[in-house]
Amino acid sequence: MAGVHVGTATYRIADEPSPGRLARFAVNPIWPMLATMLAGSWLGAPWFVFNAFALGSATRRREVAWAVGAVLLSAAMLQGFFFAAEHRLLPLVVLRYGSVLVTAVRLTGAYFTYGLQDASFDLHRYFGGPVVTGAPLLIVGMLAPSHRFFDPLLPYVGKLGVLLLNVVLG
Amino acid sequence: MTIENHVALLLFRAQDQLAHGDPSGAIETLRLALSAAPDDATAHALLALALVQARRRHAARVEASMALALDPEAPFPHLAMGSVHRAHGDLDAAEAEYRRYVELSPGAPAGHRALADVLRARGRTAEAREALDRALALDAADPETLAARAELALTTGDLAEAERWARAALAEDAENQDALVALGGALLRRGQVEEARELAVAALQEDATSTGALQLLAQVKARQSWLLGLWWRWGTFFERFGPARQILILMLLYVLYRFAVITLRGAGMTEAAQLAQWGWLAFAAYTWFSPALFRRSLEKELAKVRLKPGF
Repeated sequence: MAGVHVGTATYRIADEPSPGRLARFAVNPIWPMLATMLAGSWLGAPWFVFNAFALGSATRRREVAWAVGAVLLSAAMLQGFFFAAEHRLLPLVVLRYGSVLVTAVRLTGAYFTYGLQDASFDLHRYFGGPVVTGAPLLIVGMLAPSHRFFDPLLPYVGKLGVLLLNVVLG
Repeated sequence: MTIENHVALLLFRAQDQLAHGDPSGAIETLRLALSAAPDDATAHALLALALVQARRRHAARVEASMALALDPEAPFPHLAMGSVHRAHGDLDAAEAEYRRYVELSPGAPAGHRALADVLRARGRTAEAREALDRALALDAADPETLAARAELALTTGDLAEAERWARAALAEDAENQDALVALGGALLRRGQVEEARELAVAALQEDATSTGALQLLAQVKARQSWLLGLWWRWGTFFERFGPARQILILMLLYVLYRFAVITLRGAGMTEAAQLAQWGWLAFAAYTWFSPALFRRSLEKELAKVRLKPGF
């Protein structure tokens, strides 16, 4: 074994990010988190997904699963509430409480994604990765009239569909 | 120099870095070691311990699993895996791994100490005491074990006993972090706030990354302001649950608050609903600003700490 070169650190630890070309667009995950809370999941969820790839996060699959899964689950819950209300299985007042649960599911998904991505972000910074601020996009997202985003889909998904999209993503 | 000698030197260096509170340095040293010898179970286990110290728990689990897969009958990987479980809050699994370590290496006080630590966390203080007694029987002057005994006494509220064991540990090693922190904890509970602060600062001078010393200093600051003290108590209580449960608890609180508002409005009690909204807003503002204020107060204190040369 003598004489083998031993001075190069090539070993890669499991959680270390492998940033690619998108790394220069990486942001602190607090920005997509704030976007979810202040603008809506239409901005927060895709931003989390994009940031997972920009950071080259080792947990990006789980981050994507949480971000997308929470939106899908809340959509399914809402659909279920609408179905129940339409068929008079539940009184209408229950819908009010149901909408709170839908919001809670969306936010829970965002918090879990944030928790995972924050650890990757720390490592990204530790290795000197570039970071940009997410404030401009957040402001644009907050000012955007998100309640009108899904109106063009009215002929395809109907009123109920537009309402569902607004509640889940808005 | 052969690879074996080179790796052995690196492992020795990494252990030294870990012992001196430098997990980042240890991680880089072990990265070198594993680049040269990727199948070295001890290096993987040591890296797992360094990653636990650096709070990189996911990677720590991967490294400890690799160490166990490479050499399941070696004691050290079990100690590493126990520490990974402990960091994840999985006390059952941590206890099982520490017991396996003790079984494989009964003459090592570190195993008995680790087992005592997890038993203490589970509230089984009598068993923890027995484990520490076994460690002391192996080495009666081991400052780490004496400090662990002081911590255990502090947990059970026996302040005189805690002070006695901490002073015994400091007699063996005047710079022992755990003993300084345990003594500080005992003095703080007796109301000797300034003495506790001095001990926390002394511990931080030795190792500015010491979690125990930082916690002690934070406890001291919490004593000095009831507003920040309230946040500290809420924070330490909440910390026990782990990140996943914390999120779920917060969401549950949010859902309860929203349900209360809807119900109150439905019953025509708009003023009460308004009150609930103000209450929630105050809670949100308090939990948002308090950590920042607390951190600033702590940073002011830390700025005064003069680090030991060479740290």
